[in-house]
Amino acid sequence: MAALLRKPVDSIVFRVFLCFSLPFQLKCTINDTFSEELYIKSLERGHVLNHFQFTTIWNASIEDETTFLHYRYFPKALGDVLATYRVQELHLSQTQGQWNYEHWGYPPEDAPPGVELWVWFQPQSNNLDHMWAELVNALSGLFCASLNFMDTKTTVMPRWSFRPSGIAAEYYSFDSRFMRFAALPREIVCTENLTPWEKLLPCESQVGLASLFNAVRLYDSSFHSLGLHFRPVCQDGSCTSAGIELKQTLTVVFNTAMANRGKVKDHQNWSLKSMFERSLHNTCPLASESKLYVDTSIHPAPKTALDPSPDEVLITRRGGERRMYSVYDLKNHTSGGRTFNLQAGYSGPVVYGDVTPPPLYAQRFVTGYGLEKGGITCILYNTLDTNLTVIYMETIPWYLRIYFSSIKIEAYGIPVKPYKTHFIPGKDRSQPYQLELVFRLRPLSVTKISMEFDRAFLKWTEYPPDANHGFYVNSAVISAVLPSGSQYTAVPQSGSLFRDSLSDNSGQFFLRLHTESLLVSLPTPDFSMPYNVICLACTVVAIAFGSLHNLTTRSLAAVDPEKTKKNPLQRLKAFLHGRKSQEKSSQEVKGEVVDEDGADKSVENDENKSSGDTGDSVRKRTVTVKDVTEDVSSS
Amino acid sequence: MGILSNPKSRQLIVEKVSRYNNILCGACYVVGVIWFMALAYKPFNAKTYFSENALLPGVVESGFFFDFDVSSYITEVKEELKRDKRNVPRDWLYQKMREAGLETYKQNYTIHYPLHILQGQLVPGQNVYGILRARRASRVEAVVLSVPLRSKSSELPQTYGGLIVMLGLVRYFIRQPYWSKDIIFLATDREELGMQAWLDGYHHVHSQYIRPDELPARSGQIQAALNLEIPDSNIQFMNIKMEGLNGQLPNLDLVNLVVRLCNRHGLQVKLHNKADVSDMEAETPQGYLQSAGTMVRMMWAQASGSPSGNHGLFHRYHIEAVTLEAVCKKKTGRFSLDTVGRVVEGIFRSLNNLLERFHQSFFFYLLPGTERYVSIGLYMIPFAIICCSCLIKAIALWVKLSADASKPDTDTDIAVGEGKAGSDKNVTETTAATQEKTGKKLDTKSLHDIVEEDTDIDDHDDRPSGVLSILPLVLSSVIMSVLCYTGPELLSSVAVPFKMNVEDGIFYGFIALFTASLMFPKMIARRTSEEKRLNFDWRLLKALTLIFQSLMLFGLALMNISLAYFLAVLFVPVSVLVHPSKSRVSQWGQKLLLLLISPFSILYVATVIRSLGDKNEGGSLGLLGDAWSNLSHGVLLTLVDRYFFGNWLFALFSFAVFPNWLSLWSISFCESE
Repeated sequence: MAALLRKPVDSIVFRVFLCFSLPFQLKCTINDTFSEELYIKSLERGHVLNHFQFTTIWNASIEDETTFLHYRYFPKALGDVLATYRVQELHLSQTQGQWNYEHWGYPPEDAPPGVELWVWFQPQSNNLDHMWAELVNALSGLFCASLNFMDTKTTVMPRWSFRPSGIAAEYYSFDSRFMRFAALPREIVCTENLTPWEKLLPCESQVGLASLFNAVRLYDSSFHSLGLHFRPVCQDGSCTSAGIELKQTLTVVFNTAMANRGKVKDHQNWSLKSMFERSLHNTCPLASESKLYVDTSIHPAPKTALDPSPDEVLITRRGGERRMYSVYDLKNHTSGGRTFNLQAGYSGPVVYGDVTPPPLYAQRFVTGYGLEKGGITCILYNTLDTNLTVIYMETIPWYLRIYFSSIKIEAYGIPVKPYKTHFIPGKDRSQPYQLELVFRLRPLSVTKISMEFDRAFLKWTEYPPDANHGFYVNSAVISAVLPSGSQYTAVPQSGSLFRDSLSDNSGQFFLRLHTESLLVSLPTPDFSMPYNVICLACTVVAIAFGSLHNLTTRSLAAVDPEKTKKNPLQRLKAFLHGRKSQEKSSQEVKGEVVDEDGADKSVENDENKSSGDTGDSVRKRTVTVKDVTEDVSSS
Repeated sequence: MGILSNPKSRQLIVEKVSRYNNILCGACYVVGVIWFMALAYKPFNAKTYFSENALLPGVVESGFFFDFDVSSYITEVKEELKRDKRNVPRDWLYQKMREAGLETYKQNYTIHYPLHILQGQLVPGQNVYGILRARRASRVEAVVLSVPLRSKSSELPQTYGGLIVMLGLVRYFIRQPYWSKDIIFLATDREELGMQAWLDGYHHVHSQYIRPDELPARSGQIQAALNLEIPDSNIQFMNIKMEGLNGQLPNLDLVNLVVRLCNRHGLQVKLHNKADVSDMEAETPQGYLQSAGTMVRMMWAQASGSPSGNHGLFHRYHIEAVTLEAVCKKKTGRFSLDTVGRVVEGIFRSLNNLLERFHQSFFFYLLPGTERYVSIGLYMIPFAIICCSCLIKAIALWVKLSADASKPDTDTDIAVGEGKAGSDKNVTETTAATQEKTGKKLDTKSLHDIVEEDTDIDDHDDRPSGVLSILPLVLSSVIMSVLCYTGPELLSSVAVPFKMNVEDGIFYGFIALFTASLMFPKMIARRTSEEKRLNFDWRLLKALTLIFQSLMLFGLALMNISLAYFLAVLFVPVSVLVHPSKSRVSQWGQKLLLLLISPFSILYVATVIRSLGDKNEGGSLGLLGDAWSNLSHGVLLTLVDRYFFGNWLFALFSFAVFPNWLSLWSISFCESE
């Protein structure tokens, strides 16, 4: 109420302010846009894809040094980092689960399991390794992920697979020295990564589409991926004014049919409420556009019933494939505090039949058994009836020692000669193995790439605490330009918003797909038994040391038998024997004490003994004992 | 360490050993054998426990239920089986798994039988498998639930109960959100062949005989596997089988897990149809006999070296696996498939908790009951004692040999017989200078030098000694073993053109080889002036044989303790006893003993015992006859196992047991002094 009362005064003040600062205001408000979009596609086999895309376009040039001094929609936390390390382009993805290409087609934003980061630095920057190390640490703090583990052991500079996706000079985009790529396949993505990611949005997650983000539901999905893409773009077709684009995407796939099982038998029915346990109440007021697209191409209209009915139904063609989109303008649907809960009903249960696979997909796995050797094989399926040239990239940690000679590409037993090969062997503890291959896939063919490796034996401090879990190997990256748009859903490179993919008329579709990451066991010592090892080692040393030392250090020399008594070993022996004889003699003394009256008798006894051999030796020994004791006392 | 550094005390020990070696050998053998068997007695073994804390068995509440009508599914399978005697319910299963929403695939493979069996025809087969992709993981780890597919004509019990349980679990598991590892549901055809084909295909291992097609889909590293053999509902009790290929065993934690979960659900679990001894009876003689019986049965299964179920093939790939076999009684069965389903659910939830591969607990153990175990640390000591008697004998012989060589004229030495010493006196005196030389060289030079020196003595003495004299024997036994190993290929290639049965061809070939080997000491015998005599340095040969034998047994014990133990029990006393003798009785006794422990008789006795376990009809003569006919089949199966799965039992017999036996056999033929 107070606000309403104060309104006239406010507006006057505002107008006055506006008048004074008009030129400045114009300069930085015009064309700075933010839009939020949600793309929902029901996939085969009862899954539903939700792809959120939040796009901020900043009307400024990346080359202008004053750009990163004043922010509006663009997140300052990120902007500062990018400006400090002179980043030209940055692509970060944080993913849980593996995208199922064979059944789901292609995702709007492709990402491998775990974390992947690739960055292009500005051409004038130098000392890039250092910059990269610092950038990675800064981002690590910003996104709550272990990006700081992207050190030289995991970082590579791919030559062909990753090109700048925004505007860039030609000489620059071919120079991979400015580029760094690293991935952490083991990184687990969770709420702690979602929260900092959400905070970069202009409306955060309070209002708008981001208010649907319910962490409990998002992380209980079949696939979940957070993406952040920063690049310089053109604002118009002729590229007269430069812009900076920040695209944040969240892709999540739910298995709605399984969630419904028990309630409605195997129906794929879904609603925003059932998927996110939330409905939409508002849109982000800063957004120039809040749209929701439902792709009903797989199950067209009579099979799918949408409630409320769409504002517009778009029927387009993309690369020869017919698409049907139902478009909702969320600003209308949530105006006046209305609740928007889109519901989709299907006419029949899910049919688990054969699914048409996408034009290109792959399967990668570890081969062989035992802990000495192994291999990696990747099988590429080309279902198109045309040749397809692909770039295949592998980064393999140094402890799997790849043999270059073992790298083979073959289709049905016939070797395929790669057009280009780029192989950088790894270095122990400093550099991974890096392989890029460019080769052609025959029409309707299955091509197999295989290589063999030796498993290294690590130093015992290099093993992680869960050494027996195994070691992860990055996904392979396969890049290709498809002539057909079948199952292709990504936004074209020339466009920024998801809307641009609806009106994409080009005949070429750049595809980058990530295969499975791998888990490889290395020979592992038994860490749970250090105690046993210590015991065993000590025993062996104790037993062997004395005698070995004795045997190896003793010098053998001929000695006069008379002088042998000076040998310490024999002295000791003599000492031991001597004590025995002393005991004997003390017994004798006792005997003497008992028969005190017969002293002569004892003397006789002694004489009798001394006449025998044994008595003689006893006497000798007693003598030696005396010697020893004298020696000891004198020394 | 006086023993090492002081030559006098060493001499003392050596003398003691060589003087009392017979008593020591006997004592070691008896103590070892008794001690080993005593390990089954409760106070001498330990209760099993969980080493891997992550398993957390039975912590979760089970929620499994069949969301379909089990009896109607059973009738469907039975109809499917009735269609054709050889039909397996593969397509039915494929359909059902697909309907449940599982990614389901088929894998084709072809089998090329070795040894010209089936004239090189290729036999096709097909496995069905489905992969449940864990929601929270990226296809890096997996666990396997497998069921063998069996047709109506199969001699083994049906497994459709297992198929029903698997389907129920597919439908239940796919709805659960908590999986962190993919679950592979696998149904294999043709018993172990199908399983091997799938495993080879999964790991991309190429074999000449089993040729798997490329798998259409895979998951990651397989961590554990459970194989179900459940004939029907009405389960009386379960058997847990863990003996794998070449006697490999799964991690004890997995066995414990299965036992614990069965017990938790009230399902009785046994080992080889033998129930555990109750705590009350455990320390009574009856209790001991029962647990010793269980242990011997387990050892028997392990010693055979062939897997006791499909689980046995997983072990090579470092995948821990066991088989749960249900024993059903139509009327008295107390448990339904629901119980089994809940047990399996519990097992998989525990496996799901695993953070690392199984690496704790024991990989080498013997089980006298499901909840008692004898670890490698316990059984190795008595086994070593048994082997010790061989080594003591070998040392004694060696000492005699060296004593003979160094001072043959001193009468204090036991090695030289008195009469011989007397008769040789002139000879030795004349060559006194040479002898002294030899004596000195013994300390400094190796055995080879002694041999060279010994040739001088040979001229004077009739009795040959040294390595050269035994070389022909060693060489011929090596040739025999090579013949034995390569024989089957040769025989089978010969058998085909003669239109002979391959099985018979190989079997009679082996019999021929064995007969020839019986004759071989005669063939080697040197013809001297009047008659053929086999004369060589038997002490050296025996010492070497004993050392080889203990080495072989000890090496084997590290991989397959049961086989090593049985072989040791048979071979050690005979090998220690065997020596050339003048008395006819002793000669023939020795030969009889040796024949009894010949590889051929071992195989025959093993087959008799096995047929004894199978069925008991037709009296003892019928049994022996059955065993004879089974023997040839068993030999062929062992051979085929070698080609298909890499079973090294045949290699062991032809390269270790057979030559070892041959040298002992030839010692018994040696001319006595």
